[in-house]
Amino acid sequence: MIKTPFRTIWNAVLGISLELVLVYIFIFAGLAICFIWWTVFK
Amino acid sequence: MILRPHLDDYKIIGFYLGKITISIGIAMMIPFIIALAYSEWQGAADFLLSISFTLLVGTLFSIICYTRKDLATMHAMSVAALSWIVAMFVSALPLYLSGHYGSYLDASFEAMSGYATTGLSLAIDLDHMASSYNFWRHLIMFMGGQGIVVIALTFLVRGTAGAFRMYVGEARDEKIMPNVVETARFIWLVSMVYLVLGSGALSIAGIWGGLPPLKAIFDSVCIFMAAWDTGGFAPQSQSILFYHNFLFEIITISLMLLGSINFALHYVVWTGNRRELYRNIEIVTLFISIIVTLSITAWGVLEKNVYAGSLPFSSKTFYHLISGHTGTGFSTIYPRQFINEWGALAMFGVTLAMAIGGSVCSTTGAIKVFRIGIIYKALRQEIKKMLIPETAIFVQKIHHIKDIVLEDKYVRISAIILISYVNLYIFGTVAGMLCGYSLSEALFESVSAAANVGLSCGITSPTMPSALKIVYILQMWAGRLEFIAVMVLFGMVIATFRGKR
Repeated sequence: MIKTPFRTIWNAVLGISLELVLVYIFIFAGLAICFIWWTVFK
Repeated sequence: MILRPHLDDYKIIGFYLGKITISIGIAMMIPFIIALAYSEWQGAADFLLSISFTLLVGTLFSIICYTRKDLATMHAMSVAALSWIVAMFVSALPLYLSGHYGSYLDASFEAMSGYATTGLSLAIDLDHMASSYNFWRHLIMFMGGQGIVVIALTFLVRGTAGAFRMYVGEARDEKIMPNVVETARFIWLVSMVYLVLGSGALSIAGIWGGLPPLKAIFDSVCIFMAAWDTGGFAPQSQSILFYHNFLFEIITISLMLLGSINFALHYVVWTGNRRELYRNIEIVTLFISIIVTLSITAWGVLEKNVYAGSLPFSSKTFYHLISGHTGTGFSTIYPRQFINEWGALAMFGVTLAMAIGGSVCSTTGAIKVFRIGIIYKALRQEIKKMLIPETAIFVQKIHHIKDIVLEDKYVRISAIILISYVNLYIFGTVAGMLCGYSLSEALFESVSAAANVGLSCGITSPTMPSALKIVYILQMWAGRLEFIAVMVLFGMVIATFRGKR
């Protein structure tokens, strides 16, 4: 897995950041759906 | 023809069980140190006794059954299945000695709930449990989420072909790295990185929310372990509701989602293949499944007109849906509110999410989105075959790390696991109904136990029937190991009596 330390660490940091972005896309999409349901059907 | 196992077969199983038991004894030293640090002398004495007993049992197994032979599939699967039972019994010892459990069965239930990352609890007066015991509950959960075999592979077992079979027996079928020991270590690396990030973020949120710093850090580490391993234990009896902290809820949702991602996906993303995040069949299926089950749940909650504002409605509904879907079991409402306020439709939405679960080779339980994705693709393939000309050839592919042609063997194994889970859900539901609970209550609690979730509608309590406690223990065990290892163990028991010599 390890070729050069800098490249490895950079890839890991970028990977973690993108995983967090994905998670927040899930959260915003979920909350948005709840708000839409509330607005339309309440 | 099934052959009767030889004495050497039992020795191999006993030897590896001994190694795993020693690993658990070593792990007990962490709460022992915590007991000393917090001046909990009763806790320290209980852990010292438990460590001595566990190491003695493990060492005896290793000496009596000493062998240099490697594990065949039958041994590896039996070790994987039996190690969870042995781990449950020895890990329950300090919990029972704490005086917070009504019986050894209750303490064993708690230990299995922890190892299986379920999160259903039978603790009495949890809010006054000493820190060392409380930490042990969460550490059990963390070890269970990582995998008991993974722990043994990391420290005590050589990375042989047999070790890989044992790893597979623990419902981890992905070889992330070329060597299984390296795979186990990578699983630890990912978890440790997120341990630092997650516990740090939760500590800051806790202090910001008014918790004393030491309490905030202790609770954060415990909650991280339960969230990352999609377990669901919490240091307080009211789960996450205790904190009344919106930031805490957002961070725990993030950790639950991260914990439900496949370790193989973490590996490829961390090593540069970032496109995998939006192409992977598991991520796509998980997203669609969350949208569908969330819509059902939201409809049910709206129908009952439980919440006065859009924010409490959205946060409560979404939180419990994610908690259920990722198999965590954190809650921000009281258990009986599911029955008394949310109603049958909303409970059905959460139950469906719990039954589906997260990714394979993650810390979640249940059927898993990968298998749901495969079965959906297979269904689509069959329909397309009917629509295209008979002479045309149609190849269905799925994308998981790489493009894979959807062969019958993938569909078959996915269907077998799906059917096994459905049977397990039904088994627990019938047991619950025989104990006098309604269908929706019994179904909810059964799926929660078998899918290793931990959300409760109020059935799970120290006063529930002992028979139901045993049923839920079996469900948690079989559900966590995804049946194959359990079936092989039963097969071996049958072969002991009925196999050919």
